[in-house]
Amino acid sequence: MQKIRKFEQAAEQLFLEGKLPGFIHLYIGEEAIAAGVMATLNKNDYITSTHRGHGHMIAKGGDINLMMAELFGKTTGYCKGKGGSMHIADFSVGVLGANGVVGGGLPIAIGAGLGIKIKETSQVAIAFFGDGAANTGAFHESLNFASIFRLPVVFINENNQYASTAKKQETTSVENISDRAISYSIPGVTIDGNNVLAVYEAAKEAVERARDKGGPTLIEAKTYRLKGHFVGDPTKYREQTEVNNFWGKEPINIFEKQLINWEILNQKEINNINERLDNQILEAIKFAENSPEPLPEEALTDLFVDDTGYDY
Amino acid sequence: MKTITFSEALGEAILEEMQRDDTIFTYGEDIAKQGGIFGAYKSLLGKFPNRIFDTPISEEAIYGSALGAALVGMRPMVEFHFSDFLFTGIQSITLQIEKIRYMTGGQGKLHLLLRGPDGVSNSAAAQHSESIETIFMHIPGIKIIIPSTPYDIKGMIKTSLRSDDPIICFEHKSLYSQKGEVPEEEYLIPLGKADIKKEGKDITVVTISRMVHESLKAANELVKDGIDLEIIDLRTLLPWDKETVIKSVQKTNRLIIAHETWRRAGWGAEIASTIQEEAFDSLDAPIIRIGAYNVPMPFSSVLQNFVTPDKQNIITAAKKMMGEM
Amino acid sequence: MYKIRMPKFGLTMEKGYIERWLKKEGGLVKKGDSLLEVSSDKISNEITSPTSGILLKILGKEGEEYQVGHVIAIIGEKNEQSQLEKDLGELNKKHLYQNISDKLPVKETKRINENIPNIKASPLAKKMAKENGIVLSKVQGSGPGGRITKQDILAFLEQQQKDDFKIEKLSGLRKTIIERLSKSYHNSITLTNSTEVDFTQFKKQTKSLGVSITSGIIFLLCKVLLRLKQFNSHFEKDCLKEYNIVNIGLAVDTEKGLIVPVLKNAHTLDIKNIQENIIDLSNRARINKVKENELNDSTFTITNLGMMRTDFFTAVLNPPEVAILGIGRIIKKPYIIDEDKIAIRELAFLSLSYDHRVIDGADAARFLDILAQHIEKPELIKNKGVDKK
Repeated sequence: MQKIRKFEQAAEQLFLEGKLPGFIHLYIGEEAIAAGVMATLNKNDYITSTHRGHGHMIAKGGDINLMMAELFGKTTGYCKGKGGSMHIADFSVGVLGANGVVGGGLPIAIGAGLGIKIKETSQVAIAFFGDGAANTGAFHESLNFASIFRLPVVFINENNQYASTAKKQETTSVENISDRAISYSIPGVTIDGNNVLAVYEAAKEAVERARDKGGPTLIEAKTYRLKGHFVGDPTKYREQTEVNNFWGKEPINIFEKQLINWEILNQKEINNINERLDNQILEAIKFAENSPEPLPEEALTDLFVDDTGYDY
Repeated sequence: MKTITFSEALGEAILEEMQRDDTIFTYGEDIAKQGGIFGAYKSLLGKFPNRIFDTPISEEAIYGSALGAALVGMRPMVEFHFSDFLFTGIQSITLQIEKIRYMTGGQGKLHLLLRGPDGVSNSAAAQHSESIETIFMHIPGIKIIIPSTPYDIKGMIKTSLRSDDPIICFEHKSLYSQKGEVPEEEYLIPLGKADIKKEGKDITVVTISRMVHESLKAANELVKDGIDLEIIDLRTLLPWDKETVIKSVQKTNRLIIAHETWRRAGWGAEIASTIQEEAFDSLDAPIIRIGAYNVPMPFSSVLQNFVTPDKQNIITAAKKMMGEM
Repeated sequence: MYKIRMPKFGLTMEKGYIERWLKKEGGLVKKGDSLLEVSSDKISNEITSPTSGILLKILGKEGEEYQVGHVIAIIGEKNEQSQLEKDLGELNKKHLYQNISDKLPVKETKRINENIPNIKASPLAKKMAKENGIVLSKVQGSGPGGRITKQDILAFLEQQQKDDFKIEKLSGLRKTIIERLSKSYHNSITLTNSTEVDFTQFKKQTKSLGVSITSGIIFLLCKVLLRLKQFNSHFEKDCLKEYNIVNIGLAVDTEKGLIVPVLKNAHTLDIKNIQENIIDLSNRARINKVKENELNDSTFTITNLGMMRTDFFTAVLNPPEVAILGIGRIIKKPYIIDEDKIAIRELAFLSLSYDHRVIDGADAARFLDILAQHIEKPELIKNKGVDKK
C-alpha cells in the first residue's frame, strides 16, 4: 500500500513539474483494494486493470522501474513508450493491461476466465473496474456471460464515488453496486474498501470459490478518490470538506495504527519501511530519467507478430 | 480433388485445426446447436462440446473475451453472426483487440480469429447486408481475409488458425452454398497473397469475395467485345498484395477495382491511390472504382439490385475504359 | 498595333517552327500571356505576349517554318482592325533581322522533347512520349475528351517510322528475281572475264544504220554464239544442252525491278529487226505488258549498263544458261593504235560471266576475243546486218 502511495505521490509531483507527458490518474486513497485482493492471488493468476491502474500493477508484482520509465515515455518502459500510464501491462505477472476504456477490461477478464476453464487449471481472473464502469454494457454483458459459463472470474468494483466528475448516486440506479449481482445469479458483497483486511477476506472467499469452479463473484469495495480524476483536475464538482473528511479515513493510516496497536510493527520499523520505499522510488525515477527516448521508427514496430507485406 | 461447398470447406478447416490444436475453441451465436446460420458448423455438431458453444447476444463481451482468452494462451475463433453486428461490440475490436499488443509494446500474441458472414443477400435490408471490411483496413491492428472459393476459405482459415496475429474473416452470404474443388490432402494458403483468378491483357480487375465471381462473369461476356480482363482476387485485404497488382497494371495499363461495399471511401480508393502513387507511369486510363451507392441497403429487391454492384457494372466500366462507350 | 515576329533564340537561329498557338484569333490577350510555342532546331519555347490587346490576326500557321523577324501575328485594339486589313499586304515584304527576340519576353526554355503539361494524356502515354522524344502536341488523342493514350503514341511512332523510311512489301516480281538470283548464285561457280573493246568504228556504223549499240552487239553475238555453242546452252543436271537457235534474254531495268524479256530466234533477224524487236520488248517490259511466253527459253542473256556509269561488272547467271554478257560504258580514252600512236578512241569493257563448272577460263577468253574482233571489224555489219551466208 505504502509503495503504491509513494509511487503515486512521486508521479503526481513529476507530472506537476512537467516531467511526465500525457495525463495520469492516481490511485491515492484506494490502495487497500489492490493490496488486499492481490494478497489472495498467485503470480499466474490474471487481472485486468483500469485507467487508474498503477496500484494494481505494483500490488501484482510489477517492476516500478519499468512503470516509471513508461510514465516518462521511455524505450525502457513496460510498453517501450507506446502505452503510457493508461496502458501499462505485464503479461508475465498476469496483468493483462490497464485500460483507457471504462469497462474495457471486463470482457478481457471473462476471456481469460474462458481460457482457464477450457484449460481446466485452477487459476482465476480478476476484473477491477470503477463505479462508472458498472453502468456500461460491458459490465452487464460480462457478468451475465461469466455467470452462465460459471467462469473463474472475480469482479472487483472499486467504488470511489466518482465516475470522472459524476457522483455515483447521481448516475447509478442502485444503492450498492453489488446489488446488481442478483440479476446475474452470482454472489455480491459490499465491503469497506479502505479496510485492507476486509478486502482480503472478501477476495479470499471469492477467489477460492472461483478456483473451486463455483463461478464468479461481484465485490463492491467502497472507497474514496482522494485526488481528482486526473492530475490537474480542478475538482469543482465536490467540496473540499468532503475530501478532508475522507483523508481521515484513508486506508494506510488506519492500517498502520492497527499494526502498531497489534504490536506487529513499531513506528521505527514503519519508518524503515518508508525509507526503503522512498529509496526504491528515487531509484525508479533515476532509472526512468536516465533511460533513452525511443527511436522515431520504433513507432512502426509491435503491431503484429508477423508484419510481412504490411504497409505502415 | 473433391467438390464441396464453401460452407463445407470452412467446416473442414475448423474441424481439422481443432483436432490438431486443442487451444483452439470457437463460440458465437447459433453455432453449437444449430450449426451456424449458414451451416458452417454443421459438420461440427456434437463435436468438442467444451470447445464449441453458443453465447448470449453480448457482442462486446464475445469479442473482448476472445482477446482475454488469446492473452492466456488460447486460440479463440469467434463467429460474429452478421458483420453488421460487429458494430454492437466494436469497442472490443477497435479499442482493445487492435491496440493491446501495440499499446503494451509488443507483449503477448493475439492469436484470435473473428469470422462470419457479410454482404448482400435477398432483401436482408440495411442491418443485415453490410460489407464493412474497409473500416478494418483503416483502423490498424487486425488482418483481413476475404476468401471467395471453397479452396481459398479452407486454406486461409487453416493458416489463420495458426497465425499469431488477430485476423478478421468476411464470408459473403452468397458464397456458402457455392461449390468448388478442394484437395483431399492438407494444404495452407499464405496470407497476403493475391490469386489471379483469370489472366488477361487489357484491364486488371482487383476484387474480392462475391465480386470475384461477378468479375469472372463479366470477363466471359466481354470476350465477344474483344476485351480481355485480368481478375485478381486479393483474398487478403490486409496486408494486400500490392506487388501482384502493380505487376498486373504494368502489363494491362488499366485498373478497375470492384467491391460490393460502398464506393465512397471504400477500400478501392486505397488501392487506386496506391497504384497512382507507385505505378503512375503505367496507367493509360483513369482508374475506375466500382462499389455500392452510398445509401443503407434497401429492402425491395428492385432497390437492392440497383444499389448493389454486379457484373454489369464491370462490363460497363470496362467498355468505357476501352473507349467503346 | 503590335507586330509579333518570329523571335530569335540564340545566335545561330535563322528559322523558327510554330508548334502551336495557345491563343485564338480575335481573343483577348494580356501582357505576359503565353501566345504560342515556337521551336528551332535546338529548343522549344513558349512565347509570351509583349502587350495587351486583341489578337487581331494570326499570320504564322501551326506546323510552318518562318524566318526570324517574319511577322507571325498582330495584336491591337478593336478599332485597328480596318487599318490592319490595308497593312497586311505590306507586312512581310522585307525581312527584319534585328534582334527582335530581345524584346519578346520568353517565359521559359524547355528541352525540345519536354511535353506540354496541359495536354491531356495518360500517365503512361506521357512516359512513352518522353522516352521516345515525342512532342505530345503533335499527337492526336483518341481517348475520352481527346486524351492521348498508349494506343495513340504507338500509332504516332508507327507513323513516324513510316516518315523516316518506307517499308514496302516485296512485289511478286521481286520475289521471283530473288528466288532465281539466289538459286543461280548458290548453284553455280560464276567467274567473270573482261576485256576492253574499241567501239569507235562500231559506234559509227550502228549510228549510221540508225540502231543501238545493243542491237549491234546482239547481231554479232548471234554469230559468235552459233560458233561457240557451249555458250549458247543450258546446263541441266549432268548434261549441257547446246542450242542451234539463239534466244537472247535482255535484262531490262523497270520501275518494278529487273525483268528479262526474250528476243526469240535472234539469229534469224537482221539488225533492224533486232532493233525494232528489242525496243518493243523493253517498252512493254517497262509497262508490264510482256507476255508470259516472252519471258522464257532464252539461251543467252545480255545486260547493258553502258548508259549508266558502270564499266565492268559481274552479272549473275540466268539459269539454266551458262553465260551472260555485260556491256559497260563507252567512253573516249587515249588508246594505242598501230605503230604506237596514241589516238582518242571510244572504248568499253565487255564482261563475260560464266559458270566455271562447264566453261573453262580459256574458252571464255576465246569467246571474248572473237566477239571483240567482230566489234572492232565493223565491216561485218556493213551489209545492214543481213547475213547472207
